[in-house]
Amino acid sequence: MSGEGCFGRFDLAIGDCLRWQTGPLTLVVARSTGEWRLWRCEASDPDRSDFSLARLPDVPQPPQDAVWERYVTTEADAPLVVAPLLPDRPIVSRPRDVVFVPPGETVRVFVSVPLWLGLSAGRRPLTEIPTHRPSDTWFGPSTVEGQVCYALRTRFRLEAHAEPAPAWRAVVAVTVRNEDEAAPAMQRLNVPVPLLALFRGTDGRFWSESVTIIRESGETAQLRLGEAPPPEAVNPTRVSPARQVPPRRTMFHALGALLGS
Amino acid sequence: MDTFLTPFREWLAAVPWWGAFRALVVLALGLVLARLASGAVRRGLTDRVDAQQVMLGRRVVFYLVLGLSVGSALHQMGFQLGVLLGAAGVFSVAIAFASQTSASNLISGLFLVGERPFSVGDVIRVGATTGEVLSIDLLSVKLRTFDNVYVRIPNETLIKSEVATLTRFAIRRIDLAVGVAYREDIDRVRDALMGLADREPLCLEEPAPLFIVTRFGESSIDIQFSVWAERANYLEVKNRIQIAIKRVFDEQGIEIPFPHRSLYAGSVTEAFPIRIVDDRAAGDSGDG
Repeated sequence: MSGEGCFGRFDLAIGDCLRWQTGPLTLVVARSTGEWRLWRCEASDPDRSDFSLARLPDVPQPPQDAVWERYVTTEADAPLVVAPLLPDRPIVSRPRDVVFVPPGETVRVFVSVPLWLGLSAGRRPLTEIPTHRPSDTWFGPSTVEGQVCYALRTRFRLEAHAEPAPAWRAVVAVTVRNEDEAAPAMQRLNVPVPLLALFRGTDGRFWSESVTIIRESGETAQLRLGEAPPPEAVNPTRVSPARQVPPRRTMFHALGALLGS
Repeated sequence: MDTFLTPFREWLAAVPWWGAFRALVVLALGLVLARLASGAVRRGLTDRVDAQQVMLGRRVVFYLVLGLSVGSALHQMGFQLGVLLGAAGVFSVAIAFASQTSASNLISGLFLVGERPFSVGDVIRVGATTGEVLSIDLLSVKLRTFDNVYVRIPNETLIKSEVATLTRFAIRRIDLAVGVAYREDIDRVRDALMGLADREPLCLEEPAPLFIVTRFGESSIDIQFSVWAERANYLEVKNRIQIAIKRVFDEQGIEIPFPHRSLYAGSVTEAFPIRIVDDRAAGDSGDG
């Protein structure tokens, strides 16, 4: 195995089996002749933070609610590659209480998002598995306009190290600047994670590119995607590109499409 | 024999064979050209507009090219198009009277295409029929119901009746009617329902679930519990939430009451007569 934590490249012979326990997710991958078999299940407690990776002699008996999947492949000696990915939809995070950003003020908040495990057999992608599947939510001014996002149970924080950083979560730094004369209530924050690349620091923490939201006068806001993670990231290196290529690094949106109030 | 064949020969000599041949060639070329043009429209529009507009564009181009080639073919055979169109004008009045229903469907079809209440691929409900729209034609709309039945609905019916497009918006609300016994604590029931919605990842956190006590029914307190889900997950969430409600109510001992009646004797103050049967005593005496 040459993996670091949950991720990396794993050489499995036929009959070998690996089990990941990454917080709420239990994932078992077994190699058979011409196929990869895996089962996964998610614990009812999304806040579990234990991690283990074990090589097992046999495929363990899955619990009743486990999902079985089989992937047939012709690549006989391809290793299993497990890559970290950011979620495939925007993430909505809430503060503990309503936050107001006074006129002219700039604040920086940190959002901790669960990572997806991208499984590949060599260069052939097999599947993607969320370490924790967040609940669906709707973000928009009405039930007609908006988009389906993931809702985070964890609150966004004002300090980067306010909570422990498990190996299967990434931190997104969001800067909110208010250039208007009014102070908008920030009840929810929409983070466009599919547009962001993922980085890993030498301390093992994952970071995404920074995001800046500038509230201009009126009901418009500017969304700027940074080129790099925040300075808190220790010698970051890029580990996966953005899922979607952003049309521009600076975009204009309705305020309600970024900050829910 | 010659006398018998003479009219036939005269008729053969009178037929403009060269013109007929040219008409056939023009018609065949027109058909090929119409198909090619229709295909080109499909390729050109597929990524730019929706399936319904592609289909409409293809048909307009196909019938336009075909109509022109038919007109040209008739011209090759010596028909005067002006006279034909004049005759068509006279006949159209008669045809309009004879085919009022078809004409009504045709006009309704044009309104439907203009108004666009739904497109090809949408799921609509018309009366008791729910299905996916396969095509929107000039006279009717074709649906495929979920039990895989092909249904043709005349356009006139669609214009006159209420049509619900189930796939217009990205999210839908699932309304569930739940009844609980009168002795249950409503707050506890509310917490149980909200908790199970919170634990279901496919159930949207926003818009938040709705808990409404709708009425005090004959046998139960009736509650409307509504959750939102992504359109594609509508049936799955509806199923999962109802199963979860039954499971949670069973776990927490919340009663879903059956309909029941209180019976009174004719005179409210008098009780029903009761006859006590002692089976054991009857058995003992039998043995003895």
